[in-house]
Amino acid sequence: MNSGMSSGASGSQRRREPERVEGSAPLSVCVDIGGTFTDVVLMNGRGVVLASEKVFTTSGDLSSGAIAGVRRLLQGSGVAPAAVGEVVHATTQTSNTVIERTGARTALVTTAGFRDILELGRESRYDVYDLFIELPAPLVARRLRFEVDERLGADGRVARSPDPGRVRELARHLAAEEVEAVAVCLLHAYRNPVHERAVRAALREGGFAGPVVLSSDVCPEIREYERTATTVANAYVHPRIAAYLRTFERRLDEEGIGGSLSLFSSYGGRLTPAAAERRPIEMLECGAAAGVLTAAATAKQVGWPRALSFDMGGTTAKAAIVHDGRPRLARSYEVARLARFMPGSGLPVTASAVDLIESGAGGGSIAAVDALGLVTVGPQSAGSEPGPACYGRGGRRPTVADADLVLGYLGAGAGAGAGTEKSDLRLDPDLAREAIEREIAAPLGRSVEDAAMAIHDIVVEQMARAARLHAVARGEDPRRLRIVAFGGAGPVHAAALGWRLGSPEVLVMPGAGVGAAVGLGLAPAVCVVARSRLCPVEEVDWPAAESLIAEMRAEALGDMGLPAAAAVEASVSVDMRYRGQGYEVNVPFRGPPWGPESGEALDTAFAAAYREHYGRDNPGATAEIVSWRLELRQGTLQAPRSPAAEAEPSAGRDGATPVVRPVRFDDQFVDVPVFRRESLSPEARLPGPALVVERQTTTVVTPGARFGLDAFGNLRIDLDGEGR
Amino acid sequence: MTATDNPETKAGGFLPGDIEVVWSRLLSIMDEAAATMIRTAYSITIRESKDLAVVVFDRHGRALAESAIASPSFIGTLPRTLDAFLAEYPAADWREGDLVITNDPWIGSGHLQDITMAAPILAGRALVGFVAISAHGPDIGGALYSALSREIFEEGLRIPVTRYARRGRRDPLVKRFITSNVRVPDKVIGDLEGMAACCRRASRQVLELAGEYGEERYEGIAGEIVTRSTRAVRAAIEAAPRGTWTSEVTAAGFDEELAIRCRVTLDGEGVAVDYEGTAPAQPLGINVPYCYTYAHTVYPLKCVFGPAIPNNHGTAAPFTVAAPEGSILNPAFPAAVSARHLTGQFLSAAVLLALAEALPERVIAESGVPRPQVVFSGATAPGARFVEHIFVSSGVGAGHGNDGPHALCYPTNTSNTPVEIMESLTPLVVERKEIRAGSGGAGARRGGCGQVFTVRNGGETPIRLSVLADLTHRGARGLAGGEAGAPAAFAVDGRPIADKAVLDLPPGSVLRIDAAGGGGFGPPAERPTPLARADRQGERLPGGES
Repeated sequence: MNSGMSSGASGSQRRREPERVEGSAPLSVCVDIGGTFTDVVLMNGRGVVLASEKVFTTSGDLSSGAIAGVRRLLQGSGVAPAAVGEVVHATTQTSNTVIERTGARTALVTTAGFRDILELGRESRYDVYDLFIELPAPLVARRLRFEVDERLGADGRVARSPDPGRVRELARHLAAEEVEAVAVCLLHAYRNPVHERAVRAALREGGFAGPVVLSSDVCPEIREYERTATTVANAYVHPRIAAYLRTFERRLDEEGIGGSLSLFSSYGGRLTPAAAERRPIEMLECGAAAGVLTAAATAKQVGWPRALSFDMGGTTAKAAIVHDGRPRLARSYEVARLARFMPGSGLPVTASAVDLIESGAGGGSIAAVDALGLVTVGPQSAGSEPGPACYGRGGRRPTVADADLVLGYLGAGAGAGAGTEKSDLRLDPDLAREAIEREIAAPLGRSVEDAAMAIHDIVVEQMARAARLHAVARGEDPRRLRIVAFGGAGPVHAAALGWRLGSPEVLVMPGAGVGAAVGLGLAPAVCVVARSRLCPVEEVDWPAAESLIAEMRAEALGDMGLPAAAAVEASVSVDMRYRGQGYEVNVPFRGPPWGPESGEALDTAFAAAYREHYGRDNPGATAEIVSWRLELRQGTLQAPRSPAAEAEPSAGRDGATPVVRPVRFDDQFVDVPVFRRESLSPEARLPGPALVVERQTTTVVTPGARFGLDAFGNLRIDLDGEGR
Repeated sequence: MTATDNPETKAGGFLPGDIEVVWSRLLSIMDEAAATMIRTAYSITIRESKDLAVVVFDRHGRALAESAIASPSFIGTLPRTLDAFLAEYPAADWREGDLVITNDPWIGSGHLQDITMAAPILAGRALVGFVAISAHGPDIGGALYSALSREIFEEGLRIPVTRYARRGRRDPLVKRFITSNVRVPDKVIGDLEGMAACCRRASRQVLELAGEYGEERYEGIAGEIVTRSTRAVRAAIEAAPRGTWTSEVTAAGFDEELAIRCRVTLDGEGVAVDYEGTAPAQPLGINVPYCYTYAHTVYPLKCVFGPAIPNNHGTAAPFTVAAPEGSILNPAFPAAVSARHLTGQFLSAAVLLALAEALPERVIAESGVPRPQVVFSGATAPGARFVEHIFVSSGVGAGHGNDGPHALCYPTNTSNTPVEIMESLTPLVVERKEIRAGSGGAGARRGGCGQVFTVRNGGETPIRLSVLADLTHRGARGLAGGEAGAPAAFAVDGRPIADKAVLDLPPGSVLRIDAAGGGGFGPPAERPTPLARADRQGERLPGGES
């Protein structure tokens, strides 16, 4: 870890100097709480994973299980709690609060006439053919949505100011209603925060002491529904996150764990606890972001300019594009989708997040035959309770893992290489066969093996479809994307996915099973802020733009807990479109300083970005700016390293004749060698098909591919574009 | 399942999974094309309201897959449009880079505003299929868009089935005919080019897919998609009661109410809908070309008999639709049709109300449709014109087990235009946009409420206003004892105006729209206690609050 980061970046609250362990860089503890498992990883300052633990997530009280995991990790590796230099944490607390509707009793204050915007949404249906469509209920019920008589024009000018006296009265009413948090979203406040700030001041004067979240702070962007929904979500989770963070910090103190605490953001950076508490929605996608960061770091390590991050667990698969060692960022996404994964069925959030696509295709996804006599897989998942049929824990419905077992991708019997997240599971092939026979093979009149192959092909195609859509919509050719695979089920399916996408190569990093947690320890401190200012390029007031950026910079530094003079890397980008269009392209833009000639440079940059997205530009059309974005980062993304890559090659790596097991590819079974990952000799380049097993996963190497370890301990599979 | 129906024998040489994979790929190609269109469009009705659909066809012109974002009007009409294209330009004549367009209401989607474009998918000279896209354009010339046109010629430029491009070369004459006849030529051509880019990309991707499987196998799989879909819909029909049921709904029309009579026959294999007895064609622009009648009849049937099957030629095959010639649902050229949706959108209610006795748990009460639409035309500054449409959604009818959603677009599917976007583009100032409490029909399950939308001319010159609406003469009907929703109403500065009015909105004047509520389901007295309690506490919108 570079010294700049550990000394200045994070943790303005907890500043206990770690005890220096002689001759070593400060140690990081990374804690990634997921849906089923919590991963904790101990890393040194050079990006080396020293130890890892996987424990069950304690759903009622998330941090208790996590702290227990940390304790076990430190004890197991003989590290004193006080020697920990920093703790980096990703938690599902924020998204759980929204999904489970366990947030604060929240009120909403809007412009008079618009209290129902939150409920009306965009008035469209996510499923045209469902007459009984269910829409997500708003996080604030109508009786707690209040109106203030005020108005700004579309240009941000004040048309009518709010009456502070009425707002003070409202504050008293809020107390009577036992409201814990307030969201304020007024029309056109993205242009001018003055009225929202006045409302907050009056609420305070009226005695409201809880959090008051302003849309102009959280999400100063045009489109009132999306901005309101984002502001409300932030207020709704705010008190819960604040309490969670206090508990987490107290427990770290009780354990005597030293160093700073930082929280992981959805856009792949670290937040100070203070910033995380103020804008908790920035943590909604933090777990997924951590995984993508790992993939980005790995791609950078091996010199891949662009790659596809592929993370497949028990219930979902996530794909994301990483570019020059960085994840792509999206400016909006949805949480808590009702019809799982159906766009439009969730609550929109306008905030920066790692740009990824999630599909309901995981190891536990359930297969069935539908009314058309076709096989469907997911999005329903058997989860960990009862789990896939082959777990022998009462699950009777066939899953992807059951198909993988029948096909020979996963090994029967004990533990290692089970390809499940929990490596001490025993997999029972008879139970898997029975489930597939009953639910799929018999109804179709096909063999169990054919049915299993169909399940496998379909789930891989679902992921390919998601990845393809995601890539192409972002101007990337999926056939040129190399794949970085992780997650318990990722390496099992990555080569097949790569083949389907036409990808040249697949990489499975060391310790792919806890891949996401590793990303926490590699990430730099990052802060992203945005401001909407609708304006044609030719009319930009460049000195004013520079002051806007300066203001944004001050805000970002504050969130990062850094002084104004801190050395940070700043990058400006501009969301732009042709006048008359409704969607923007993000255009990276050098500077400030800017001058009169900057308009032309920005026009040129926009045309290039537009061509990259859509294959053409519109010469002669007027380009306009919608929003300005500033990203500050301190430190750089490190590459992960395996202990093996640092240690001397161990003895016994002699490539001893491996076990052989029948595995099905296409329409036939072939005998395939099964290697243990640690027994692979670093120099060997071996032909597929093969299986490579390790503690938390199995890598399937398809026929026609070649594979081996690289200098960093990564398992590399060369698909050469056509190996299947 | 009979022996010949065994999927294994029917599937011939396919591996299990092949059909699923190809189908999924086709759906993703359509979604990507729709997303590209939305993101590059100039037309606000495309980019904010998402009024479009993209469909891929096999080489016989049978629809295989459509974009998830798709308006039912287009889904039902696109296949017929392609048939008309093929009648004009035989399949063998299509070459790489050809683009054919039309906006003919009888061939396209019922009015001139929608343009349809199709492109071939060719493997060398061998035809693999077609891609087609329909979308609501930014302008088509003619008088201001309204329901008051007396014949098609007033409604704007009619583009017959025409080659917009031959082997990639745009026909300059066609382009000039279009640009010379519309108010915003750059935007119209910009959106046509966006459609062209969609077609090009989608056809290339389908071609790659067909190549991966081999064209013959691809065609076999495509055939399976269609036949399996038909089989599944027929199975649902077979499981339903047999018989004939009727319904009658009325549209406000202009001077007198117009009866839409609907007879639905289920014979165990198919569903036949007949509109015998429906009002005759009208002198103003609310006539519905048959293609639109067909689309809005097949749509509710699909919802009832195959909601989960991705739409394709096969899902519609068991349905037949008859409308008497010369009726308002099947008028002859050159009838005025600009506001055909004001009549056509009653058809889903007609069909569902007829089916209510046979299948009460599969239908919903009448919704507050057609949802009001308003066109504003004016200037933001001297010489800077604007024409913007807005949609104001109404309440949806309740079902036997669910309250109807408030203010949701149905039976079409468009999004609203954000207030902040509208105010950035025009001098309009929206003063109120809220749920119209009390407008949903009471019932054991309550109909969805409509909304109140008021907007002021904040500029200094009058804004020309065209209201396109109906359902002001009665409320949306309830079912099984549920009550009717509140009717729609329109007013300027407090004075009621007609639901199909065209007028000037002077500076400072305010237009108020009360969109209708949906009908309730079941007797109000049987409303479950927890729901009734929640109504009273204001957690949900109570039926009686105002």
